[in-house]
Amino acid sequence: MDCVIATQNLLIGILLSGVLLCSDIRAEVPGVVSSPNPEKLSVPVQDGHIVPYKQEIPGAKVSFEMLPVPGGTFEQGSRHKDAAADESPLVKVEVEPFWIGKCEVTWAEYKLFMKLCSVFEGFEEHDMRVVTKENEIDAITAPSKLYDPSFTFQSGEDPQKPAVSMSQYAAKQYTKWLSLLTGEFYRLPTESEWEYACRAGADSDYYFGDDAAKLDQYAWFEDNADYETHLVGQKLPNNWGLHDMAGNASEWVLDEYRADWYEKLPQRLLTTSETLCWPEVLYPRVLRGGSINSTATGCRSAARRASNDEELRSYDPNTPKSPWWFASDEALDIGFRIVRPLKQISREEQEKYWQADLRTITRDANKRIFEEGRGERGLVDQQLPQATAELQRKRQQTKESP
Amino acid sequence: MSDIPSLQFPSRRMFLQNSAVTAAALGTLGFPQSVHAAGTDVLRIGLVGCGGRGTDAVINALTADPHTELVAIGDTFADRTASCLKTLKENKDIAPRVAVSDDSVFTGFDAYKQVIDSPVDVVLLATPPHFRPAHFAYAVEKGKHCFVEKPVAVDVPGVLSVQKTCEEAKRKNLAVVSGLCWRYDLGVKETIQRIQDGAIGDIMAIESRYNAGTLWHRGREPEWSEMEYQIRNWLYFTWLSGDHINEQAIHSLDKTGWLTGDIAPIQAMGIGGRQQRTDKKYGNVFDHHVVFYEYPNDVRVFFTCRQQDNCSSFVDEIVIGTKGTARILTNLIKGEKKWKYKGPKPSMYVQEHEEMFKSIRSGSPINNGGYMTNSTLLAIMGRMSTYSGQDVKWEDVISNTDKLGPSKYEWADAPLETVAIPGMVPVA
Repeated sequence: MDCVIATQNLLIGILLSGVLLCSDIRAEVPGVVSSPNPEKLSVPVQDGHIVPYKQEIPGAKVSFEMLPVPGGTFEQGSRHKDAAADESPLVKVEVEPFWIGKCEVTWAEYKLFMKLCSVFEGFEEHDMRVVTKENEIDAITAPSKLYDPSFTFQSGEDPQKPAVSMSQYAAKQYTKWLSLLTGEFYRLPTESEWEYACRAGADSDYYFGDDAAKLDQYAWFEDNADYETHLVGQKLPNNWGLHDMAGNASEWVLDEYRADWYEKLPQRLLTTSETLCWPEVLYPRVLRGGSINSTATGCRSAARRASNDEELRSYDPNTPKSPWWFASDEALDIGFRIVRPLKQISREEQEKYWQADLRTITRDANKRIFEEGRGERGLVDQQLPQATAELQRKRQQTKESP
Repeated sequence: MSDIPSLQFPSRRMFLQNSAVTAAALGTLGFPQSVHAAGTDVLRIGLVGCGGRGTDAVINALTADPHTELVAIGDTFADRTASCLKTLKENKDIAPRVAVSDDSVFTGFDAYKQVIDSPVDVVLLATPPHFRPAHFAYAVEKGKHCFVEKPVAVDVPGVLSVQKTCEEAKRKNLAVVSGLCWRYDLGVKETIQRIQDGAIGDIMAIESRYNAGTLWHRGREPEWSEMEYQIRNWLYFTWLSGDHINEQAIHSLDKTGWLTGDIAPIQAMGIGGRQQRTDKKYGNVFDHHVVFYEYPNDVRVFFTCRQQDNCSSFVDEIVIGTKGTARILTNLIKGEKKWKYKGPKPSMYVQEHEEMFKSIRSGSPINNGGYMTNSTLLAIMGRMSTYSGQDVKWEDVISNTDKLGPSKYEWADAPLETVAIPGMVPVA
């Protein structure tokens, strides 16, 4: 069914492009063209090509770049005898085409999401965009303002540094915000998608081969990072143009971490939906890609890091702990990158990738928002930037009136 | 230099060296307080102040020592005790030791007395700081060990009262553990220890910043009296919180106090005001303070704190020494050799409770009275200067007799203080 929808869209697109004599299949669909520019990365798909694109975040002068990832099959995990136990056996996975962030999500992007807390507060005060039972499917929770930014910003808050120290739940809410704002479906990658994109066709330890001595050219890690995150995109990319997959910040994926997950999967070619371990517990969840705190071994494409959310919240002085922010040195290297699948899915299905997956997360978020006044809930749609501007005018007026 | 020499422990390390002597000396005085020295007896805990911090403090305490149980809780508001208890009972690790029944849950302004009068050995004091001096005095009067959240008061008479109570606690061999948690953080402790051992030479100056965003606001319900409104939104009323320089940024001032040896500064120059949080729902606190503290030997502390949204944030102390620099929360020293703490980092919140229970069981309870009162005075001194626009000397601070807040607590009107305008209000 979903395939049919996607195909229809692309067909309509091709017809339109024929009429308009334009290379874009659907002018409003970013990253899809009928005839690609030969100098740019492009990936042929069923009815055209997917190509890199730059998306501006509506209402802000901030944009991010997405790169195409071709569909294909690969072996997930490590083929080396001395690999960590949780990286084997190898799992054969078939991956459908998608786009992935060229870089990790930066502070420039994430701070727009963080600002929503104050914006939603304002909507509530001015009775604007009230959340009701009918529209709450379009609501997100915005992270609370940082009580003590000493953890989050220990590497500074340069707009081009990766955003860090958010929980997986906050990262998922970010992708919902971005999706409803841009009209395109963004989400976290699955663990398989992540490793596939990281390898970019290479089955070696690292995407540039097996020689750890070269890692310095490709990644910020323990030996060269000085325990601080660095501006994204400074190190060499992999074959598909992705930067910092091996280092800088560790990246959230959708999966729960189970050390024996590969072992338990059936021994045949699997889809990424089959390999996805939907979380049933708060932690551990999977973080991928090495980081400023990783040794070279931890930067290998197959390396898996398990989160310990309780430990990551150990410097949060309140209970319930923040569902959006970690407070611990161990969280200074935790960030994420986004993907956009080519295949369309229904609005209801999208929710599963965005929403809190455990009742306890919702309970803690609600308690923080409704009892403590920390964090806010609000609606996201394509009118949000306009409404935010209107709110600012109202706030200005209130300030100016005696 | 200080008027309270008996409480001035130059460092926790030195205190620990002294405590054995103190305990031995006290042993001859006949205060029968160290009844739990045996080790595995159950220590019973009471909580006063059931907000997020109080709730978390209970979890820290019950996590820190397996032979503990929570037996009584109290808060001004019934919804807060209920929500606290619910959260604790949902935490499966500690729920079996939450032994609170309906008749050991207390509410109202006198809830603290009922908690303290319950069969508890240790009291966790976690209400807004205005109430701390009275709660602490009552707890020590009744012979209870105390975990005392920061800050310990909002005005000078309050701090002086807490100092007296600390002395009494020492005489009775009762623990007084401060919620100035960074003193129990292993990374910060080792960093400061190395600085004190000379890793960056002599300290010349400290740049101290607690620049953060705004915090929560709990709104106003029509059925609330003004008093209820203010207590529920206590951050924004100086009489309740002492202003954010005291309530929040004390963590930074406490680290500057620690680094300068927990002694009294000579004087302070402060500039402050409010630019973003001008609405009257934000009571009378400022949203930024800048204070320069002058210490003996020309040592200076340049301190800033800000609670404004969408501004640069930064929280840490940058210590400038004759032979290098250091960053405290980053646990980083750039001296002759570069050093960064890489040891274990257990939760400092659990750590402070672990050390408290251990000290109670060993019969020589910790007394953090020196630095917790000194650091609160640093914050109040800064506020006195930012509110008045006058440079303030230490003597002006410790002789100040202004008491903040109403003379009695009832669900009715509460004082509506105006925002201080420097140059137009006296030092207070």
